[in-house]
Amino acid sequence: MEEQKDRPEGLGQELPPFVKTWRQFYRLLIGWLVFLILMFYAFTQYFR
Amino acid sequence: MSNLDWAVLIITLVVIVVYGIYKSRGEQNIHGYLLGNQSLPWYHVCLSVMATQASAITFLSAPGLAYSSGMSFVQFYFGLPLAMIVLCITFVPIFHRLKVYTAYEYLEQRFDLNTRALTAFLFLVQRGLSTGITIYAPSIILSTILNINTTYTTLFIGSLVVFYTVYGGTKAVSYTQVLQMSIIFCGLFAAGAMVVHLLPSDVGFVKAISIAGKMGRTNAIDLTFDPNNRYTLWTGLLGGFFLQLSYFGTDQSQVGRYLSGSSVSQSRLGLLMNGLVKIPMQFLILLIGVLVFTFYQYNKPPVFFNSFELNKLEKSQYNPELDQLKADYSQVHEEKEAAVDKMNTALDQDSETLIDQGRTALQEADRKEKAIRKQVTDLMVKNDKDANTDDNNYIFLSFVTQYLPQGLIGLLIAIIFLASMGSTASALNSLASTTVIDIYKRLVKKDGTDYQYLQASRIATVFWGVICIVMALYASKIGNLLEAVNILGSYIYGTILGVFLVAFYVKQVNGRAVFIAAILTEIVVIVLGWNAVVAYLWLNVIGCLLVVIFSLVIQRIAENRSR
Repeated sequence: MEEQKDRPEGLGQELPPFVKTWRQFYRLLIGWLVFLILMFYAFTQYFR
Repeated sequence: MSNLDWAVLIITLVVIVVYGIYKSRGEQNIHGYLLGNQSLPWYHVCLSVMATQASAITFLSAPGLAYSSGMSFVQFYFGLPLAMIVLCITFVPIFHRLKVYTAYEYLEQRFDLNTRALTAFLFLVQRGLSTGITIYAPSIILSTILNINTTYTTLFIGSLVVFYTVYGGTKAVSYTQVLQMSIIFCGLFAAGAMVVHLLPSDVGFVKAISIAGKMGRTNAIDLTFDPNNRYTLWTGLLGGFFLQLSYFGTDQSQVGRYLSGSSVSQSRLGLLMNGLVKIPMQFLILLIGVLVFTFYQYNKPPVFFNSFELNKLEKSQYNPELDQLKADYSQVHEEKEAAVDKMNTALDQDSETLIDQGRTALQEADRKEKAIRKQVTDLMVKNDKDANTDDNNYIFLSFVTQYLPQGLIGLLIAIIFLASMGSTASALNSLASTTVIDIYKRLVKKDGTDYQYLQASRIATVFWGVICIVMALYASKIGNLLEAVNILGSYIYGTILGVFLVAFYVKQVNGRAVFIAAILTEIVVIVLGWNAVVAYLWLNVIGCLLVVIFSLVIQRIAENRSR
């Protein structure tokens, strides 16, 4: 149990890859979701 | 199965199990056993949460769903990326900062012991029951291959997973899941390529999807607002969001995965990458089901995909009637093949009139096929009232064993085993951690040694393994396994999520108010779900909102009384 408490606190401050902030990464993910929904909608309409 | 398939299957399983045991070798403590010493990088976290969620059920039921009702199930996952973002902003930093073993530990710090114990209990009930279903799914495979009852295969697979999990611990589970997911991606890609390869030479990938589309199987997006429609864009975004947030934020089988990350950032990155990859992966699995559907327009499918139940009927007094139905089925399929050929030509000529005619002919043949299948299942029930008449989970499996080449059959069956092992191992590990940390250590033995808790965790893993195997033996009576797991989750997840949201965001509510609110909500959700008032995904939203509203009202009443 003690081992867990010894973890350094600073580790949580790393930045995400590809973008400058975590907020930008979240926006990227929302954009990806919107893109997928649009692609699937086009897929549904095209093959219907 | 051929000798080559058995060799591929056995070698893959042995390598994975030995690898898991090798990685968990050496002296362990409770922190290492339950949280892997919180030392894992983001890609371990990502693949581990994916492997935990993508059980064997995913690979058995999802293609079957696409075959029988289309691709609308993909919408179920639309709320997942949004849930990952909320988790990364709120849950992950708090859990890491408080250095908890389980999500429910946090609730005692915020509220009281009652709330912690209630949520831990709800989790144990839900996860204990659904893990039984997770074990049952791959047992279907051996049942079909060896043509024996699923009871024996369930016992065999359940025992194997329990053995592996007791010795594995979190770190080994995570390491093996990385290997498992890599093999799973390769195998699925190979299966998809093989289905296209097996189609007639004049039917390519796009035309195969077009034919399925004309029969309503490419319905990936549904914009209707019908509250009883299970899979629409809205249920996926809203209901799916609440379900995924509850699952990843409050289900210890997932919380334990990302708490094993070496830092907040590594846990976050693992979850966000899961948000990027999960929907395309699910889409591809459903697409394989659609391709299998088109394949069976050109090749006669079995009159019933579960060969065990079919064999039982063939050996019964109803065999003459079954033979007649099989003959009718063959005739209808010939009509269907002719209709598909017409549709193929119509698509080549891009003629709307011909396409409409082809669609009508196909749908008529499809209706006749379904009517014959219904007569077959009626005969099965006549012969044995306990017969399993839902063959959805056998569709993809039947295709794999009958049409794929030697070696690939073994690999795909190994994949289903691996997926089951990964998710079941995570579930048993989380059931053990909740039992030991939230119940045993908190309520029974507060001053035990690290070794005692480690041993208690191993015993708890065995205990839950036995419970889950017993539950698995009853799973054959439930229709579609994937939906059964999700429906069960929806009865409980919303309430637990509501408790966590109140804990994070509604500071004025105390433990007593949220405890009463959670119990009242659970009663309402069970009544609504039992009477099928709304589609099950909405139960997550309703449960969550009711806990928030009830707790605010109860808190206000309590404050007014005390004045």
